[in-house]
Amino acid sequence: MESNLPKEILKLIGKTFCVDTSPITVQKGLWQNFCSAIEDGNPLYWDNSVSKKHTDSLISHPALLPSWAHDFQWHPKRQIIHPMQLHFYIKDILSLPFGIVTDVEIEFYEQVKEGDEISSEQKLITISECVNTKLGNGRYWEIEVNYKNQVEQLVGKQNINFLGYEK
Amino acid sequence: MNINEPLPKTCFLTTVKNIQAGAIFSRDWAPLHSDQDWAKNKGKLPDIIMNNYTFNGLIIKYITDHFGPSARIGKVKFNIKKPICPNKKLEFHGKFINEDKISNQLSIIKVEINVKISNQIFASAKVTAGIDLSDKNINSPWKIDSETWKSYLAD
Repeated sequence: MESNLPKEILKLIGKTFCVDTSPITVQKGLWQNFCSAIEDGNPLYWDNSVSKKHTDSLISHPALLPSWAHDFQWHPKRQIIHPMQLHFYIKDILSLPFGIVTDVEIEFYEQVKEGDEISSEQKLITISECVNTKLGNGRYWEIEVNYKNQVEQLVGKQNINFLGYEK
Repeated sequence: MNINEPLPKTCFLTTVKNIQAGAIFSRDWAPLHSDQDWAKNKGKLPDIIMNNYTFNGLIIKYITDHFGPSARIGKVKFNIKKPICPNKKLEFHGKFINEDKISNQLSIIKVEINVKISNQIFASAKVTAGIDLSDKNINSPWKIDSETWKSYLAD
């Protein structure tokens, strides 16, 4: 089981691997473009007079919570940070070239609003013994990502289960 | 509502544009969601595929369209079993599976959703949400403090 795992992996379990600081402030224009793509007219994202009654002001679409911690595609002054670095690090150490998401659970605790800055912390929760799947041989693992705002409130949490495999 | 009662079905037609826009506006730059040449030739996929955030957005929209805009989404658990490509009619089939009344006006509900294309399940989801039964906006689930809210999300 875990004893077959490289030391580099064992020491990751339960520990924060990296903290990605917010690359961009939360912006109404960005979340409304997303809402437009999925044709979501919920007034909490669009209409101040309605949102005032529930959330005091407009809120971002909850599905975008992880997006606010994603880096740009390109930046003029620095190298970009790829999302889910921990997943790719695990794949590299285990020499598993392929990876898929098997399921996702995301919890939303706080509203996300214009001007917020969302950072994320990634942590390996579990990793399985070797498995034989239809796709190939590999391992399952679960990564937890905690999202915090600029005042260090936990805004939400995402648990992602992956299968890393070789053909 | 009664336990196991189905929710009305809704549909969403995928297009190249809305799959690309969903990915780009959720700041997901992976080419399998926005570059058709890459998806077909390098990704060995039938076409670009919908990303997780867009799918999650549609699940949340299904809940707030049905239970009202003030429904507060607490938890979404989902898996996409088959790639969702452009020019497909997604059908959202929901079922009401649990209700915990936390006051006369507010409930924490659970809903199961299957997303089908041509009668085959492509993805499924479970959602936990707070809803205002009064519909008078005086007991909005958004007014529940975070610690209490988190306690409602525990399985």
